[in-house]
Amino acid sequence: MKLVEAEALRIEKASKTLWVAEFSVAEKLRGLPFEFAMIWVKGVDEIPLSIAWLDKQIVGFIFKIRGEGTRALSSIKRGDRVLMKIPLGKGFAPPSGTKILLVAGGVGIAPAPLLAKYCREVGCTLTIVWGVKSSDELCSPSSIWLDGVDLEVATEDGSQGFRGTALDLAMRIARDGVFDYVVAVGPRAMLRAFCREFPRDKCEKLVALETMVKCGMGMCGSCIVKPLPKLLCIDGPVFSCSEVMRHLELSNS
Amino acid sequence: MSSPILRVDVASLILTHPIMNASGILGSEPEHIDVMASWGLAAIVSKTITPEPREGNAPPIIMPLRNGGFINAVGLANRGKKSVKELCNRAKKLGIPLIISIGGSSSKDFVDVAEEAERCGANAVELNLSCPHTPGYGIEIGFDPSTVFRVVKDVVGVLTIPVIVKLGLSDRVVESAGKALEAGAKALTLINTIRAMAIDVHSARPLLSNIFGGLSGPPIHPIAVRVVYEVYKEYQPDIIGCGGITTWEDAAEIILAGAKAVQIGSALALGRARFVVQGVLRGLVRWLKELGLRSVAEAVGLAHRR
Repeated sequence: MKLVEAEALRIEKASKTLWVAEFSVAEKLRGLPFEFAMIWVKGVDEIPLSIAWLDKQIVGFIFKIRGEGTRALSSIKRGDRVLMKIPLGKGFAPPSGTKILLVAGGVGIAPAPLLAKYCREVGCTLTIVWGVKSSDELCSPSSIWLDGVDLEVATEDGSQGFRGTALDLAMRIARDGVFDYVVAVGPRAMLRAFCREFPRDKCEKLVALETMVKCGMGMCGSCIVKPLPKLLCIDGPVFSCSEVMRHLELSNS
Repeated sequence: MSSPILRVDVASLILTHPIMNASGILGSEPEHIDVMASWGLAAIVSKTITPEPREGNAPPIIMPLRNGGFINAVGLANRGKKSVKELCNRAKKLGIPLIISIGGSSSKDFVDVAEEAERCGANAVELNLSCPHTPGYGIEIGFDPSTVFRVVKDVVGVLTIPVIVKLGLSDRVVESAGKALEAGAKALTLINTIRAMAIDVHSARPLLSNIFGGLSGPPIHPIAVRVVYEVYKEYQPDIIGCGGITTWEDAAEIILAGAKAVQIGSALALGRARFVVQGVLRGLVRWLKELGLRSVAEAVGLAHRR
């Protein structure tokens, strides 16, 4: 983990619901898929965001406005600075040669570009299923570093791609293909449904969780994944369905 | 890692080795107790518990600093007195001694949580008379030796389990330590974080939402060693040394100044806890043997020899 000063290069609305924030940093950063950063929007709030892409001295995030911190982040200007603790968490580094299916709901697409880059580098095969309510929530793959990635889209209203949820489409894709890892990231209800319903034969089922994160460094304990003795900021955010099923059932949001 | 040479007896607690966590690292939820038990600590110190729940401050609450330390103002976030039972039950189930850290703004607050801790089977309580960043909770009490005396006396009067008193850096810390002992404290934890401030130079804003915070980590270690040395010199009480301990040398140093046991805080961050605890224990065993000592107790206060 490093504490780095970052300068905004691009803050833009990328779809009806999603924003992109891209920064340049003074030193080369490294990070694994699903690792995250704590971004201090100076004087406002410090928020955890999944690293969307990372290339030498460029780091990007995909986010949704959810509160004061994300709202403030969406309104900063090119050249403005933030301070970030990066990278945090344990990340997810599948071995080379494996086949991965990422099931992303809404802003759950955030960790996808870094996973795609990792897969290209180590030689994993990646299929991404991205589900949203309607096509106006999608953004162009090139704006979020997803060019040339096997990306399948599902919209609940059928306005683009498959009509249905990301999970519906992923189940259909999994019928014809074999995957070593299937990772779901998105709203809690979707993760719960994924862990319950997705067929588990021939694949390891994983979810990327979200919890309250206050320090990001394993000290304050806000991100405890009850009832597990695990901290999201140290052991996560990726966990196997079998270990977090009770956590998902306990929380109803 | 456990070796007979490491066994210590501090504040009437018999511990398999001298390392516990410093209060403030996790310790407010039963699941935290599970996590901490896996680190190999000899005893766990809970997060400071106040009678009523406290939300704590808004982030940023903890920031790393250029000098290798941390500054924090978590704001005594905890679920209140009602959480004590769950914490105690979990520690009992795991078979690890638990010390309940208590915070309050009056003698009554301390007594209230202390009685609950004893009822629930805590092994000891640690009175946090030194939180440096939450107005009315801690340091104002610890700064004034006569207030220290009153609070400690009131708590000791109603408990049978050991009372440990945690004091912070102040001009009158030796005097406060004396008053705590006079009032019946079984041991002193020295020191807490030190009231400090960090400013982001690019935005000209304080780093923490609370503006002020407690400085911890390696930068405060020599201060902790000095305070332990001075208090030991005056009273030779049981001392739990705390402040920036990261390596076995740091632990050895504070033991030589007069501590019988040590607490580690900041160094347990970022997933390094187990590694740090094991490293310190291994180093201490080697060091005690190198000095030809048969126990930690034989090393306590050795730096006072003339």
